[in-house]
Amino acid sequence: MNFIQLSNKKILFTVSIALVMFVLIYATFSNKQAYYGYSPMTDIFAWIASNTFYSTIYKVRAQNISNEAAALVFKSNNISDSNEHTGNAIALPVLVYHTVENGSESLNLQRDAFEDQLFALKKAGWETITLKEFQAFMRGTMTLPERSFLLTFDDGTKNSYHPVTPLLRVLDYTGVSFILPKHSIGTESHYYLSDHEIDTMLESGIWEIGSHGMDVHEYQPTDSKDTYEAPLVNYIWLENEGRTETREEYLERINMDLLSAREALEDRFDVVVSSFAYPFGEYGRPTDSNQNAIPGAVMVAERIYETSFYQWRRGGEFSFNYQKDESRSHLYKRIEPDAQWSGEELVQRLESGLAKTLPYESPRRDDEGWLRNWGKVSFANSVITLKAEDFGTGGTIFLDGSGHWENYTVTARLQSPTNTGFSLLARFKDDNNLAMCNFNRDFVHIEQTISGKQRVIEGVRDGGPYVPQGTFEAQAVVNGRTISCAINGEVLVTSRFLDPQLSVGGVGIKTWSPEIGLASVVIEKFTVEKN
Amino acid sequence: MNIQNLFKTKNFTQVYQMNKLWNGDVITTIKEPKHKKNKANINDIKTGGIWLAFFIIIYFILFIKVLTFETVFNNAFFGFYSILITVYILSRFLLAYFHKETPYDPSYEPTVTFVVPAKNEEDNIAETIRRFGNVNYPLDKIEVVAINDGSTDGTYTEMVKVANELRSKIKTVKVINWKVNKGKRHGMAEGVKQASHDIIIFIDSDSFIEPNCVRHLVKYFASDSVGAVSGHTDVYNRETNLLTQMQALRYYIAFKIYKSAESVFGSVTCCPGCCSAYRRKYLVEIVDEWLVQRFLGAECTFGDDRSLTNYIIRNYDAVYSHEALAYTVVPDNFKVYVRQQFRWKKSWIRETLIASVFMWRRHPLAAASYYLYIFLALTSPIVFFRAIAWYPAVHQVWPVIYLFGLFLMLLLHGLYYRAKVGPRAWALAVFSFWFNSVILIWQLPWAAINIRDSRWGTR
Repeated sequence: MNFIQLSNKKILFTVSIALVMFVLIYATFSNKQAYYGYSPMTDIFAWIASNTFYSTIYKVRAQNISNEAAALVFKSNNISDSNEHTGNAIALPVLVYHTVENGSESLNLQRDAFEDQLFALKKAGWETITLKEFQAFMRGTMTLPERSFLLTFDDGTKNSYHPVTPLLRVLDYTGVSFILPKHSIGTESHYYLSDHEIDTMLESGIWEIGSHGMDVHEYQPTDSKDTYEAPLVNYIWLENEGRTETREEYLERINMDLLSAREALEDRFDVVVSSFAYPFGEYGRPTDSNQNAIPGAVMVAERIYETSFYQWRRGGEFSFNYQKDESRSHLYKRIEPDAQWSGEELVQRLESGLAKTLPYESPRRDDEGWLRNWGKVSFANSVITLKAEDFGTGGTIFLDGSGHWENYTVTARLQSPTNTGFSLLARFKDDNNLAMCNFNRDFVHIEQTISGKQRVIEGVRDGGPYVPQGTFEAQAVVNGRTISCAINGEVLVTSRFLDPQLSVGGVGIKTWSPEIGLASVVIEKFTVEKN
Repeated sequence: MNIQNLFKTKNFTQVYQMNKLWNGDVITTIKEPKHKKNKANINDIKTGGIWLAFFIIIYFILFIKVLTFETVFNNAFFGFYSILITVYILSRFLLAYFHKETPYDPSYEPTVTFVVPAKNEEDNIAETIRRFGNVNYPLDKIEVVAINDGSTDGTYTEMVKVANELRSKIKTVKVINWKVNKGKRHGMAEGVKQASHDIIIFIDSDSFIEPNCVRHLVKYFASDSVGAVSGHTDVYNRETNLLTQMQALRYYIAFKIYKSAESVFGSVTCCPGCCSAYRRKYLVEIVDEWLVQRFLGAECTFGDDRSLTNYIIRNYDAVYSHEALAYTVVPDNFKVYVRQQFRWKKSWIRETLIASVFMWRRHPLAAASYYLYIFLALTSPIVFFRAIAWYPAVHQVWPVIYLFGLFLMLLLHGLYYRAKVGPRAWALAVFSFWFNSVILIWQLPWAAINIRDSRWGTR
């Protein structure tokens, strides 16, 4: 015996409710997949909550900034001339971030620090460009405002996207995300973006994607003793055959890897993927952490992608990418901001990397862009003091933002307290490609380093001492392929055979002595003027 | 039929309705009197809003289940539990929704005996008994048996006084006086022995029936398969404190949703002693066995109502009548409440084990719900412990999803209550319901351990 009443009205009601529920849940679920992939629910709610919360805060902050920006010309501590840096860009920086965490105790970039950095950039007048604009600029077919930069994120993690997008939206910025197809296509990761999320990401119009490699983003063993290295820039150990791979195998492997990464991304997302970010920022130049890095990756990447990006080592070369540099027409460097930098610090560093105009005078106040390759440098007491480290033989500094200067005269009023030699770098491209006037007591040389090979191309000796005691003026004059070196106005040596590659370049100072810890030079005034 | 009693005040409207009974007869009935609606619009919109919120909560619950479905495969047992408990609870609402409305049949009016065992209830007993004379039913078909079970207060005096009052309306009012306490079962059994009418209605000594209670209890006995009917009991002292408000919510839900769902298949497992009716013919078949019931070697004292119902449903149906209204007094002291809950859990464990032996014979859906409920009740403390203690300790995450899910379920019940019953301090009641469920979840395993302890604890 049962007491059930299946009235039509009730059945209709129940069925309609069930249908509505089904439709709603299906819709919400697809949306959730599209926006958040397979993240756990707690993460999703956390993102929705924090994004809603932060979006409102950002809108308020952004409104404040645009109110101020209307009348704002960036005033920094060391650039007193407000006429500088209001024209077109000559060089562009690229910034790279990885993930943005929220409230974690780790040393990784936190959300508030990231906001601080981006808001400071916006406030100082920095605007993002797209990858296509970057590529056009580098080819020389586009002009861009001076304070333009490319904003990139590596690894394609959820944390490089969900906390970031609301901020980009409010600031009107765009970004490029370098995806790992192995982790993002057809997977259900809680950490990496899923392909659904990337679809949504591309539809937003704020993001472009690039490739970050297929298997080369994981360390692999390079010998039988389980030494692990980056497989893009090292020969790996072939377990089955008990040997390291040959160069041909290496080139074949990385060619397949980079190609398959591009194809996987282009197939799945129906976009052109023309840029590549080297895993770990390494393209094959030996570094402190990877002495055995081998060249080859650049050659392979060049054939597959239009542009490739590596991480700038904060020394050894300019921080920005200069236009129309044929020797490096597809290889570009990116600045990776520290998680601990404040917004002002980041802006300061970008400002000091901006292409500088001539005439130029130094020292100004604090750090206006002198980058140190090695040795010790200090800017105390309004002079630049460059010394060898206690166990070193010398030091080199160069001026960021000077890479496009053409014909100029470098004049330095200086003294060497230890009577050691010094050099004026007159055509500096990077620490493997430069020309300098090397002044010593017994000789003055014009030295040129091309691709790391150093040669003396002209010099004078047996007429010294060439370097006086006390304070004096040293000069280096460059005009096209001609370089001359002078002391106190007297030209000591000239050469007309600078390598054509060094027809533009920046300036710097070097000091060196064979005796350990001795080399030092104190620069009271350093000016560069157009000829 | 006594038509004069129906035209009580001007606000009542009468509607005649033709109804076809389940045995094929067509009868004319008077539809239940309704109050004219005042302020209909504002309250209707509010109620509409509450129902919308109700279905939105269901949506959230279902959505969370769909999402965590993926993790079902990660941990089969707990994923399964999560799905099953949602299915169980939502099915209760669904079944209750489809419960048949049974109209009162004026051509079927059996004789009725009220049985009221009482011990130390001098405050309430008079009102309880007095109400038997105010029912909407032919008084010549009613008799009353009141048992004073060894009270040490003025219960007996009160009984005698009110019995005298009542004899002007009801012919037979027996008052049995026991100097020494024998126990509730004996009181109820004595009532059955002393009764001479067809239907026995057990009322607790602190329960108060509404005038229409009787007719709505007895109407189901027109069908021979019915052996017991449970009334709908609300909390009389609802306004006293948060504890009583919470119990009011709990009682309402337990009856309207859970008992109603059981009743769809005539398988109500507990017709509560505060207000229930039994067919005397079927009762006398089992009352002796029930009186001396023993479990695990100990005499069964508490859980008399659940036990009696279980004896009946072996062979007959037990249903729930949502129109048979009564009120009962609930504990307003937390300690007393906890002891009552503990006692109820012990009787639940015992009776549920016993009934699971024959429950499979009943309607498959009723049996399935029954065995599912046992599974869920036994695994809930385990799941709870894992979610609140073990998992956070090992994985260092707060049990947000679990507690939120639990809260949503209870909010669902609370919204139903609010939609049906109107604006009361329901939000607070939901919260304290949640809180109490969480605190008392340990009681079930503890009750299982202590099941042989037959002390009453309260009363």
